[in-house]
Amino acid sequence: MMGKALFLSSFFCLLGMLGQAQNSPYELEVRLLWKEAPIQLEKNYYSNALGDSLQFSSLRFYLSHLQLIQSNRVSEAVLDAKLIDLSDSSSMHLSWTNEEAFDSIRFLFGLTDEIQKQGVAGGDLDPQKGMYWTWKSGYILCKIEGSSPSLSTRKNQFVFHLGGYESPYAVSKELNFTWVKDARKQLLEIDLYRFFESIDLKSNPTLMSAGEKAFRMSEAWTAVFQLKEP
Amino acid sequence: MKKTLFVLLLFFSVGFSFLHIASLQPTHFPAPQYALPTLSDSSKIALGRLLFYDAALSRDSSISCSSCHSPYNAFAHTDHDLSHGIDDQIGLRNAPALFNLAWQSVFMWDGAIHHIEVQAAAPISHPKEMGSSIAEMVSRLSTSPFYRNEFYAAFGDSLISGEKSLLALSAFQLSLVSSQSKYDKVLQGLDAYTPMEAKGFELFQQHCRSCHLDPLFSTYAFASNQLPVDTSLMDMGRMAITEAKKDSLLFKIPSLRNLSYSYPYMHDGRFVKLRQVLDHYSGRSLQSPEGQKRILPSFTSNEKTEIIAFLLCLDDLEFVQNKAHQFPKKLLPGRREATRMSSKN
Repeated sequence: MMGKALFLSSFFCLLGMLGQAQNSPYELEVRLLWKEAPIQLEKNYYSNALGDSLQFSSLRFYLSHLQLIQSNRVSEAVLDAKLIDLSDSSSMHLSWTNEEAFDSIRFLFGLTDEIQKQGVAGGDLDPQKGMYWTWKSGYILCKIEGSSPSLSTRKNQFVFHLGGYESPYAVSKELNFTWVKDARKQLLEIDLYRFFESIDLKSNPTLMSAGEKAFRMSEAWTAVFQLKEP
Repeated sequence: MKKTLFVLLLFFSVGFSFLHIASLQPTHFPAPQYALPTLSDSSKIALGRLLFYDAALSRDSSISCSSCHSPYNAFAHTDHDLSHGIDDQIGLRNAPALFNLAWQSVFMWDGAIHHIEVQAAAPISHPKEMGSSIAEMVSRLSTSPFYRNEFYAAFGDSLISGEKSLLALSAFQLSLVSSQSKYDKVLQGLDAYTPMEAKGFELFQQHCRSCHLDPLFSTYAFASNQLPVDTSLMDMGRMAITEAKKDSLLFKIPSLRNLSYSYPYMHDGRFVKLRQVLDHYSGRSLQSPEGQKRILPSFTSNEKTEIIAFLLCLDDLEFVQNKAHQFPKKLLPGRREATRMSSKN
């Protein structure tokens, strides 16, 4: 009798744990790296392409419209606009719940056209976050700022403000990644070493308007996005 | 009896104060591009009006929106040809008049701003205008119990944000409707033109209307005004936004309403008198926004006088004297204590 009760309680406990696993959230953790090590603001990093060290003072960008895909069936967006900000560790974790399985995800680096063209919005899209271009309407989709002693700019700074939503130089880009079967968490790794190796920082340390240059740089930026297992 | 009279008086006075909101859509105007505020937006308009007139929105509390957009000048300003901002800096362009904004889709002389709700972010953040930022504005307003109450009244939440601040400023600006000029009254059969005004209207219809389409007196499209570039400014107009050569020296066509109050004229304020503007356009070859070329006649002196007589019929004295648009009493020095704010600078 005692053994039967123990068996039943263990069975229901296991069932409960399984149920909990089914309902626990999925997570995409964003990791900003320099040669596979997490980047810290104001710390020195060495760039071969630049031939000098550089520091980051701000790394912020938007991800939006996260959708789940199962056998070409695409879900509604499970996450809307999210501002990723290296100075705010809580912003680096995107989580959602979903009852159905999926084998890949897709999302936008940047924001949807609808968001770009609408009026003012709140939350991560509030202009007080400093990501709205005030001289020309539209969001700055990515801010990469820092300095390097080798730059001849004021205070040796580099400033990249990537934005623009008008064709043919719309910066937002849809990205697709395979999601490991049954995984609850994956890492979105962005290696800035690879990014800085692919651009000519010394010749172009400042980019603050939309257009072909911003489009090209955003292509280089999204090219270093990778999805990995924790 | 006295009580009934009091209630009736209260009812009518409250009703009267909302009258300008209740009737924002003029019957002879087309449908607006942006929804006009309604009675339910009156507290948002009131908050937007406070923000519009409060110099605390600028970096050193010296400049408010109204510094360049005075209600007595149809929300333009007449002190300078170019806008005058923080630290006595002079901007690139003549501050445009603000009225009938709900019938425009994009804003600024070059159309840089694509939505009325984000328009105010530009002057607040511009280093030569108010020199602040939306984050700094929110930070300052949040220290003020007075503003927390006003935001609660407008949004049912005292938490101040950039979104709510810009929505309130937008609601106030959308409430600035000018539709009570002599032209409007003639159109509604309530007044009549003098012979000189009627002749001017006829000339206007023949030669000016394609760009300055009534009843708004602008198509709000972008066109060349054929003015030579001011080499001290090198302002290339819309091309600065689109980077397309075809947009070089194109500027948004301004409305011709309220010209008596909103001089100087043109994007760089180079003309002070209407006759100078007519002298410039007289006999000039122009291209419409649709690409059609045409040459305006060389107007005689009498014709210029007649056109100007009609243009003065577009002055809307009720609009520039509307107390509901003017400096709000809540910001008067006697009540400053309530609005005092701290600055982190």
